[in-house]
Amino acid sequence: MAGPFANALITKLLVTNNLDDEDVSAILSLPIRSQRFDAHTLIVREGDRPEESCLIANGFAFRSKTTFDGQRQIVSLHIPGEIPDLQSLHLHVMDHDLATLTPCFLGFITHMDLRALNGARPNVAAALWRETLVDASIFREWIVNVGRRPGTVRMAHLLSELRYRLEAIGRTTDGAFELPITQLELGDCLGLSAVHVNRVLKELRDEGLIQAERPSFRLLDKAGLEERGHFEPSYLHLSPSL
Amino acid sequence: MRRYYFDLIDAQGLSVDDEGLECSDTQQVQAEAARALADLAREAIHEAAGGLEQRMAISVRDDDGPVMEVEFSFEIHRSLR
Repeated sequence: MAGPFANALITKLLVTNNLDDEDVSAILSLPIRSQRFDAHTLIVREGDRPEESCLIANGFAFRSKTTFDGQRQIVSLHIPGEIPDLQSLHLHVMDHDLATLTPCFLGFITHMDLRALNGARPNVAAALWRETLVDASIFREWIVNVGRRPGTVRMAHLLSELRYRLEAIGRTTDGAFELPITQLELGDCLGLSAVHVNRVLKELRDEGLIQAERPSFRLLDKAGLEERGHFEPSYLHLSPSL
Repeated sequence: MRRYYFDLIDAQGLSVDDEGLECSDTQQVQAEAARALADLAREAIHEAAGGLEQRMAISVRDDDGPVMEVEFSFEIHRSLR
């Protein structure tokens, strides 16, 4: 497994899991097929039966479902080190779409190789399982976010969440991060219209909480934004002990 | 497809849309504006717990100028007792 993939995956796994040296060696010797994707490109489609899973070395991806009348809901955003379709190892048919948000550098690992790794290193298998469980925890929080919170609170919550997730893998600089995303896409994440997103971002700017010149988001008042978003980070399980 | 800009006027003032949305025709523009207004109005009324009278509007423009205005108003008339 080449440098950028190994770094991304190990960095991400170590946020939430303990791995020993043999676990790390086993992961580093996984064969991986790298591929560059343009932005807004489908990686795996609902209904597909993939035989490999993809690891993000660079860029952002998202999972989504689209209703019968063409309305898209983004159900999750994914960052480097994550394997957004890891579930396809055990759930053979994709029940959602996986696509790139930005240009991505992706690495594809076969299910056969993942199964061999899991068999050889039960600790790694447990770590990968835990990753999918954290994934599910984030979904639960998004359900509450979209189902119950007012628009401005939803946005404050999402931005706080992204800050924590990116900071854990060393991808923020002093509360600032790059997230190339349109108002429409943010709306699809939060169940808001693009117009509402525009208003909500303005409100957070006027309150002095963020600076948003997309693609950059700078959190000016991290604690203030968390409070505005009713945000509490424990659901992210950003430590092996959580 | 053209790019349309949806500016919002509500109790907080004017929120200018600097990104816009691509729409295929004015029917779609109308639908987007109406839906957005419905969402915003719903939230404003929920936040105000039914107490405030709300008026809000979305003013849509494209590169050639104003296209349409969609307005929402919410009034409560109590019966005299």
